[in-house]
Amino acid sequence: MNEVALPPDSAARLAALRARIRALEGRGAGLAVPPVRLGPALTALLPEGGLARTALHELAGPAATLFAVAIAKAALDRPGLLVWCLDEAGARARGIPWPPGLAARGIDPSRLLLVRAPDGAALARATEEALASPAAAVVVAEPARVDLDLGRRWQLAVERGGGLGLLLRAAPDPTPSAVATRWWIEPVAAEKGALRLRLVLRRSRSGIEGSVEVRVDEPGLALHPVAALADPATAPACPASRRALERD
Amino acid sequence: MNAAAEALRLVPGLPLADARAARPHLRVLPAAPEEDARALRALALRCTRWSPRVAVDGADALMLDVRGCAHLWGGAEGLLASVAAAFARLGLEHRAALAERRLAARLWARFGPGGILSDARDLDDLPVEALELEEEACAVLRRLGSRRIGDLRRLPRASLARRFGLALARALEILDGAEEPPFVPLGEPARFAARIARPEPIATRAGIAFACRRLVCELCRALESAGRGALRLVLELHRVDGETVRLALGTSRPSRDPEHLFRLLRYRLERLDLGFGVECAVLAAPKTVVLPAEQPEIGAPADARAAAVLIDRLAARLGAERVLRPEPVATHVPERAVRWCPAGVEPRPGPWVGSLSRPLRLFARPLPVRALALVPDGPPVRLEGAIAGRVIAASGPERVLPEWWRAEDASARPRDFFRIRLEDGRALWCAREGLFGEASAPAWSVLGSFS
Repeated sequence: MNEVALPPDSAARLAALRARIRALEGRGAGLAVPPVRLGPALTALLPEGGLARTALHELAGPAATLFAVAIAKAALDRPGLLVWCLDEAGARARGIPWPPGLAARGIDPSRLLLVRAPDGAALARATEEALASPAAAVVVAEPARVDLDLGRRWQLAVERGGGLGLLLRAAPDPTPSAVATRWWIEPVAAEKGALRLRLVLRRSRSGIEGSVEVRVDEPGLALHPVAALADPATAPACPASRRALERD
Repeated sequence: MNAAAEALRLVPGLPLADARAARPHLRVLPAAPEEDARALRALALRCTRWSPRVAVDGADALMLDVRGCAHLWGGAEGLLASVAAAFARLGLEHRAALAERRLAARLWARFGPGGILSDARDLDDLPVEALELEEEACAVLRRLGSRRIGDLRRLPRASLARRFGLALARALEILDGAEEPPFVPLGEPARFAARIARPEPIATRAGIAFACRRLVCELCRALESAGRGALRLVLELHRVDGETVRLALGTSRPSRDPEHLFRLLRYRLERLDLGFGVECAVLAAPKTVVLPAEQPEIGAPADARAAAVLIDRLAARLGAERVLRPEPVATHVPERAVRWCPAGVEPRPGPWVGSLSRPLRLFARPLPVRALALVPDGPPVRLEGAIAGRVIAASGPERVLPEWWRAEDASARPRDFFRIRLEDGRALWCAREGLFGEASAPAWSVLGSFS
């Protein structure tokens, strides 16, 4: 590869290198799209300043819905629908998003489109359709199973549509998939004050892993830092992270 | 009686036992008038290939209004020949008659030889039974020597009406040229429709898709020149085996975009049963509204259009009742605060009364739990059952009275809602129905989750 003169300033240098890596990954289109900003609490885990749009993110754990709604709220700063896809089994097991609750937290329910697929196959097709549509700013899907093929198809769809894809999972999925980041979200017991979440970034394309504890300011759904736990993974020299990098 | 029955010398009114004794191999099926009516209706739909205005006439006849259609088939003879050929191919015995007036055509088909009735006076030779009078009336007329319709004409009309009812007089008047009652076809022909008929049936899905694409393009051109957009499309596929497959779909916004409409159709085509092939396909837009021409590059409604496209596609795949938008309902009962409407219908933007005491997720049904509370009206301190754990924080109660004016709430008790936090951090929405000290113990349930 021919050497391109890098800017002397280290931040600009970093940005230029990232742009080059993105181009190599074939995600050039994503460059123009600013990421979904989630506040300073997550900067350690998300070096690009937020969650990448036009990408899929997998959220699992008992408090995944709250984190998903917080991300959706941040991503709905641009026009478009919030499309929430679930199948009947998922709706029976976990319930459906509830507009009065969303309205209280600053998400306009008239932007919500609820898709209740009869089964997993129909859910997969409907999700692909929603991800590929420019009308959807955020697509939340609750699939029971995502294999590599389906994940790749959804990834291609989300690149066409330009929205943000959030996959809500009941349990962590050990199988490899095409998602950009993988999170585990669990609530932290706190007797007083705001709800607290522990966000564990289990895998990301940037190779960073780690966890952070946040306070959720409920009316605004803003995430405030509580205490960054010891996360050796932020150092890219960590062998586990390096493996994660090579896997990508 | 069809030809096969006549060949066996069966006659109407023959007792079943006699028929069986004479013809032991006879297969007997109970009469199914409803099935017959359904089949006749299906046949009527199929007859729309000759004329868009078709009506079912009684239990065993179809009436086609072929004014302005016959020339397409090479005149009246050509039309009748085409009908005869099509019915013969379906294996249906029939008699077709064509006349200036509907009553005349009916009489000529039922009691005459069929074919084209060129002179209305030919009807005078038909028996009086053709007028569908009561049996008694027919018998009286016969005794009076009036065996044919022509004989009735010689009788004074007023006394006929007095003696045999107005229906007879009315029928005679119509035969003489009076106005007939209005013709009510099965469905008024759509103003916007396109059709493809092929001498060779189309048996492959790809072939049908190709035909549909041509139909959609043709329909959209017609819509465009009229400045209208379709809200509903109906595709009718006439199969070789005589069945008509009907497929209807709606759009959330008026559209005349061939790409979009064809895509909606294609989703549905994938699941259609084509049988042995389709010989004729008709695509109609029965419901259209004015849709001014617009330039896609200019103006804001691009988002709305993209949303409509997405909603239509999802609805075509899953059915409109599975693609939903919320609408607020003015009620104090929290679970009834939302009505989910099919997304095609524009939701009322109505004021959403949100509250942080409402959960992010509502469970499909309340999970019954057992709960311990320190004071009778107080929040729970421990849950047991489907969801278990120590409660470390709670807010509430929010008392909600049942809507006693609804039948399903007649025996409901007041509920106290609490927002609680369990020791593992989960935030839940639970309610106690009833009060301590009542005849039946209060029942606790968890209704939703805040995380």
